[in-house]
Amino acid sequence: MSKPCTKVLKTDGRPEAELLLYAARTCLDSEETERIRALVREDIDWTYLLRLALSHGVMPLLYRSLNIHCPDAVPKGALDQLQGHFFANAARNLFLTEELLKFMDLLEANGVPVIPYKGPALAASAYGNLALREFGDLDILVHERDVPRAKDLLISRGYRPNVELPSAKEASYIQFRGARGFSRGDSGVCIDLHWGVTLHKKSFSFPIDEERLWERLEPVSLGGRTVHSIPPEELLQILCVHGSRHCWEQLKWICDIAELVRAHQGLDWKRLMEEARSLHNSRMLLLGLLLARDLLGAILPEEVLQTMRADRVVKSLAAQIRERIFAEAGGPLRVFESSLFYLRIRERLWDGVPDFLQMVITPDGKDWEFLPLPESISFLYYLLRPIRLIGKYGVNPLRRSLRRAA
Amino acid sequence: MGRPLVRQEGSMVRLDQKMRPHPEVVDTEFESGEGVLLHLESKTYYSLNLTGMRIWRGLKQGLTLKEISHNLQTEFEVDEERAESSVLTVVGELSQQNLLQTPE
Repeated sequence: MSKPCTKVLKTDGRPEAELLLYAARTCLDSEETERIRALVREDIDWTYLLRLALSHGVMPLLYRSLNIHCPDAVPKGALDQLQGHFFANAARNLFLTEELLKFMDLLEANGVPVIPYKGPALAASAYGNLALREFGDLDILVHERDVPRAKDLLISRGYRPNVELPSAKEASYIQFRGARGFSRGDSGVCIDLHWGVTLHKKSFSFPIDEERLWERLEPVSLGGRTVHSIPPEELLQILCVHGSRHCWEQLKWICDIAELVRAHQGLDWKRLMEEARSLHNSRMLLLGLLLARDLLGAILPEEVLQTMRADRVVKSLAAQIRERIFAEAGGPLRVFESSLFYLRIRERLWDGVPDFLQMVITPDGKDWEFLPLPESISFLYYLLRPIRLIGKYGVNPLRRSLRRAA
Repeated sequence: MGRPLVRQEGSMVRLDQKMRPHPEVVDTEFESGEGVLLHLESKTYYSLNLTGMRIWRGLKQGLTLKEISHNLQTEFEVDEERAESSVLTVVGELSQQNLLQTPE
């Protein structure tokens, strides 16, 4: 294992981003701790720092690091705000975890095997504490054949589908999609019921062997109980696909990678890299790992670093993400840039084409709001969407994206 | 030993009693020793400082209040009077918030 040389980022020369990058880790060496102590003595804009941490979903990590390493150097108002958020997040996560465990009990009592993943299971497995990760929804994975039964059980527990479907469309929805969201009004809890590890089966596809996944589950301690969840080798790949899908816009997704690697020292890197290669998922995996290394000091084995060095596209995409992640002027990637990102992140061009088309031509709620069309001519949305996007963003972002891709 | 976060309201508990956490209360403890209790029925949460969390842990272990006080004296090197006062203060407030079951 080689010690990484952490690349330090600054947002327009401001130290807040650098402070956040050091603070968003659960494990710091003495040099990193000293750097945090030095940074808090600089002219920190605490309002900006807290806003940055909030938008990147890393308030709990920021509170933890500052509270442990230099509480006296933080203005009382800022520390109180961080502490309040930390406690509230911990309480909400406790509540969500209890709800998750109760619903898992209900599923299993009805003969429906279930895997909790992301959310509380990830917080426990990667961060070692429920309170250190923010999450909104609960994610559970069931076998495709069990989806109707799981849906009925969700409804019996007071959940309603976020999108109602005519019963004739239920079967095709299950066939073509990978997940469906449910919410319970009285508690504000949302459960994403997954039967595939990506949202759409036909876009951003990730052909992991799901049956084998069920055989490899590993124990995780959750709410004083042991549950079985996805092993770190598969979880890393799934999280890297998820991060890529969202163009790594939030630091918390990169923290997940860094913390998962840190927490699982015995990770089977050989198996991980071989499986990623066979699934043509290496580039997404390498990008997530490279960002975790560059931004959060994740320690990676030499053979992984060598593979990274050999992939020019991964280095270019990582540079693009690093440039944008804290840049207020840049903001998240626009639709064209995202579409090109989706093409470049794939090792085989044709794997990225469905994702590209999904982004560029598949209509969404904004298109329906832009021009309500009767059902009989709704196919016109596929032509209207690219026109609407060019009208909204102009052609320059498209030109820039194409230049970068070239 | 820090002051407990919660304040005492006239409690009737005795030091030889055991008080048990309410079954609908869940908790999580942090590295700093602080923690959060959540009452699942009322969806209300309470933060406890290091001392409060030590007392809560003793209650979960089924210790008498006297035993919890003794543990505080050992861990924080405080006198008996102060430790007992802290235990009674925290337990009084936890009871008032319906976070404990009826005393045995």
